[in-house]
This record gives sequence, structure tokens and C-alpha cells, in this order.
Amino acid sequence: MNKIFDRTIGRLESFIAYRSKRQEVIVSNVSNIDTPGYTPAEVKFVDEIKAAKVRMMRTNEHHLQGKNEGKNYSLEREEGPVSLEKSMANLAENHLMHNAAIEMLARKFKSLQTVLKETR
Amino acid sequence: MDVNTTFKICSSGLMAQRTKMEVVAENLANISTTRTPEGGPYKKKVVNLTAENVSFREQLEDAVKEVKVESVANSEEGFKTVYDPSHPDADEKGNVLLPNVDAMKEMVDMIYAARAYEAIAAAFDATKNMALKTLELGK
Repeated sequence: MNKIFDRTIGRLESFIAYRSKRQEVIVSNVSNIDTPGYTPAEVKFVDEIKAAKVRMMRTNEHHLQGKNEGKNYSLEREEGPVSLEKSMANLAENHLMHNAAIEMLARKFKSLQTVLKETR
Repeated sequence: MDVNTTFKICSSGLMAQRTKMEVVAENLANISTTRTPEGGPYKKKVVNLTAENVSFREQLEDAVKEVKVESVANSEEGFKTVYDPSHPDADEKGNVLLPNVDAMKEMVDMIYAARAYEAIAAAFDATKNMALKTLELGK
């Protein structure tokens, strides 16, 4: 991100992307509650700060520097049938956190707007 | 956010539960039907569900699956025999073959389907709210 859009906005963006993916998986779990043989899945957030420390080693200076981009989540398979209670709790939590992140993003934009307005 | 996929999965789940409900209603309505076009008493119907990949893309290592009603099959076991010589469908010994529908089991299936439908509808609602909240960013 550049000087106007600071790192917070990038962080929020990847957080919202993770929440969206998680929503898909939760919905899939709930929808397949009756399907025999279906294994539920869970999406876990991978800490970006931790992930950023793991970089590919450059053994030759002509090598390109590895970039830490792409998925910020990992998928885990769970045992046994879908637990409806757990799924609904996950659904509520995911919904809330997604909306919270969106709200933060909206306020971030709003503060940018305020700054722009005051310089006129 | 890929709302379409999520909605698609939700609707497939809702459809599956509604099919189950329809089959329960059919079974209960025919609980004492002794004559069918194919002969013999009414056979209890059972819904078979399978999980299927969301068609247009392979994603999240196949974790996201929609529900498909694979078949509605006839159950062939557990017909009840009742002694009733006055019944037009009774055999020479006076026994009537009644459908293999158990009212208690059907009621349990019905409640289960209703609750599952509710859960999926709640998931749908939450997803819709998330999408609307995202749209609010543009305000």
C-alpha cells in the first residue's frame, strides 16, 4: 500500500477476504448437515506477521526475492459429522467479525475523506 | 466476496431439505394406501443426498460442496400385515399388507428437516447481511 492507504487498510482487506472464505466453508458445512460421508472443514487464519518471517532463501543473487502473497488462511478437515451448534456459533462469530472489519474500513475511509475535505 | 457461490450452496441445501419434507408428507399421506399403480401397498420413499463440488471451479481443496438430491428410492422392507377379512385387498387368509411407513419415524424426520431448513436459512441470511454491509462501503 502506498502513502495514502496505509497498512491498516491492507490488513483489513486480507482479514475480510479470510472472513468471506470462512463464510463459504461454514455455509457448505451447514448445507451438508444431512449428507452421508461429508467431512466438515474449518478455515484457520494464518498470522501475517508470522508468515512474513518465513521467506525463501536466496542462494544466488540473480534469484528473485520471494513474495509473501496469496492465501492468508489454511484449511483443516474435521472429524465426523457436522455439529450444527458449532456451525451456527461459527456463523454468528464470522458474521460479526466480518461486519466489524467492514465498519473499521468504512471509518478509515471516512477519516481520509475528512482530511481531504479540510485541505480545500 | 464470492456471494454467488455461497448463495448457490445455501439454495442447494434448502432444496434438499424441502425435498425431504415433501417425501415425508407423501409418506404420511399414504400411510394406509394398499393399492398402487405398480401393484401392492405403497412403498415408503427415502431421499439420498450427496455432496458435490461447486461446479465452475475447484477451490479450497474441495472443502466447499453443495448438496445434491441423488435419488428418491423406494424402501422395500418392513411391510405390516393386519388381519382384516372385510378389506377389499385382503388375501384368501384375510390378511392385508399395509405400507412400511412408520408415523413416528416420519414425524422425527419432519422435525429434523424443518430444523435443518431453518439453520440453512439463517446461514443464507447472515451471508446476505455480510454482502449488504460490504456494499455500504461504497456509500
